[in-house]
Amino acid sequence: MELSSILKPEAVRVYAAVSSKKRLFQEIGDVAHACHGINAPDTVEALLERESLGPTGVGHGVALPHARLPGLDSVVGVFVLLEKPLDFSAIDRQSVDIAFALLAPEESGVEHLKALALVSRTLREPTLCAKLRANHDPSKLYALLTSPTSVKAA
Amino acid sequence: MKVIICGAGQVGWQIARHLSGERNDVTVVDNNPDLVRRATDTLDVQGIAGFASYPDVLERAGARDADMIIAATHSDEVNMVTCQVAHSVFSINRKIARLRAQSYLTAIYSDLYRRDHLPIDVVISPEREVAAAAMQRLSAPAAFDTETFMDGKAQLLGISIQEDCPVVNTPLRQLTDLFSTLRAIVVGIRRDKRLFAPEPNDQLFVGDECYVFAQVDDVSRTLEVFGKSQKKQDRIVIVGGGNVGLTVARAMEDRQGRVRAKMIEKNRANAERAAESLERTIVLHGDGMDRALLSEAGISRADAMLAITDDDRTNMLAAVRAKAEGCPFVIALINDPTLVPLMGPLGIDAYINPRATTVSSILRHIRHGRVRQVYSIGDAEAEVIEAEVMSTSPMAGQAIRDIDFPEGVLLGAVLRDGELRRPTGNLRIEAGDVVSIFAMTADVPEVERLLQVSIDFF
Repeated sequence: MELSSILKPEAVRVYAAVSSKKRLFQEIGDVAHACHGINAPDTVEALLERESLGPTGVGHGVALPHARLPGLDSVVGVFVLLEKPLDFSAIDRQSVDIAFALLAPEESGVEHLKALALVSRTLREPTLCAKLRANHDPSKLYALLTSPTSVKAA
Repeated sequence: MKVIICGAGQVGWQIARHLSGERNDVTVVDNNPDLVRRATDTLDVQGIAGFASYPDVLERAGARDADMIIAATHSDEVNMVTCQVAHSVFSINRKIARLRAQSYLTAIYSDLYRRDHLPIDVVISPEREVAAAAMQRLSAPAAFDTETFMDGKAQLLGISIQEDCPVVNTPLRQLTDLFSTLRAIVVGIRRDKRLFAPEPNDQLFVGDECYVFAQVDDVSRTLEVFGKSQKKQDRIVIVGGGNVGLTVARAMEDRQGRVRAKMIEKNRANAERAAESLERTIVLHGDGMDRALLSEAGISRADAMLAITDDDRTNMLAAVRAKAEGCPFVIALINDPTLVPLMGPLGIDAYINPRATTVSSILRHIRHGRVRQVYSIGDAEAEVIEAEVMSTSPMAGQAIRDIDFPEGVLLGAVLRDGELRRPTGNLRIEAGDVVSIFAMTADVPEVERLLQVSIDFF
């Protein structure tokens, strides 16, 4: 599996700042709706619901919010870079500026776990994260995320 | 979590105090600027003066970023509209409203609060909660505090240890051996005003207040072991015939067995309304503090007396008077937590605090993990959390002795496939189990961490 198979170039966004986790999820919901036609309020609710079971901030400023949603036929991702980090109640209490949301169909076997492992492996790479943080152009970010070097480095 | 609380009266203030005390971002809204100022002066909260259901007021209160709204103004209708605005305009996910009118609370109309109608996730009704608390107190009169857990299969009992308690000065470890079939665990002890979770070598002393988590079939035996005799409460005198009194009297009439209740109500109209709607309860019109009237109600022969008017001081004095007239067990409704320490000196046996139940039902929605119930103990000193163990959480698949519980935390019971298990060290916790955990407030975040799913929970 490669990141390019779950992430569309239009699903990479850069925001100056969002004021809360809820707003971040609303932005993600809007992007998911625009790129994949998923119902935005349902997406927000599912992400919040999953978040209430345990925060998805994995540390080092990275969050991987995810949820299952009806009406999807494959795992899809939304990447958001925040210029101003957001308090996310992550495990290391560090605020978050990189969020990679994953939305999976309700019945998806192990695909969703593979996708989660791939994204988490990719974003665990400090050099890649540093490059992502230095770039505020969505098309460059997409190229960085999907370039073979980043996958190999992982 | 960002929470907006509408209404800075008793209920709102109490909730704001509790939630801001645990570092939630709280904003209080009330149309009375004095009440808002009282909240912002005494608590770590922000305040907005304005009408709670107006979208512009909610916007100023930060509704766009809020995760939860609690509508607890005096008006049911304002609370309902506030929740609707919070949902439709600001997409606030969790909405809690206080509703008092009986008609709104009737179960057959509860469909109204569905998400696509008038979206309210949790309805809190102080009257109903007080009535439920009163009934619980009457069912275990020897305990100063009680709460039901595990689908009614377990009960938390607050028991004060007196001289006649057979198990004083015995290490708790030994109690387990002595009463090997007794399914009860001491989860908390308050000694010299300090609450702590006991170790197996700790002993109980006279004057301790202890919290025991017991399987419901073993409640009477547990009380016996701790030196409390369980007596049936058949003859009850209720002082106060308002909404709360009426709900309690109705619940009493619905209870099985021969309950004989008498009610005293000062307001003539209320007394008449109560007399009309109650079948077997005798309603007397007059002052609950009046000796002659209390004796007419048969206070000296009564098993228990409940003082549940809307005034704390009246309740306390009426309870003291009833005690002086020979009633063995008196319970007072006390809204103001600062009055509770006066119970001991005044000889009041038990109290009901409606805020405690209200706060508990809200906390359930704040904690991480799949939390089914939270009961707040004392003045937010500790909590009993009942939650489902999720797969991938740090607890799942571990033997209890290997779980990294902090010092102030004890497991009360485990519910698996509808059956209650004793939490012995080698019992392995599985995903899907329901656990009841006693945790000192400082250790609650760690308990939350143990209940949280890990990142790969999809």
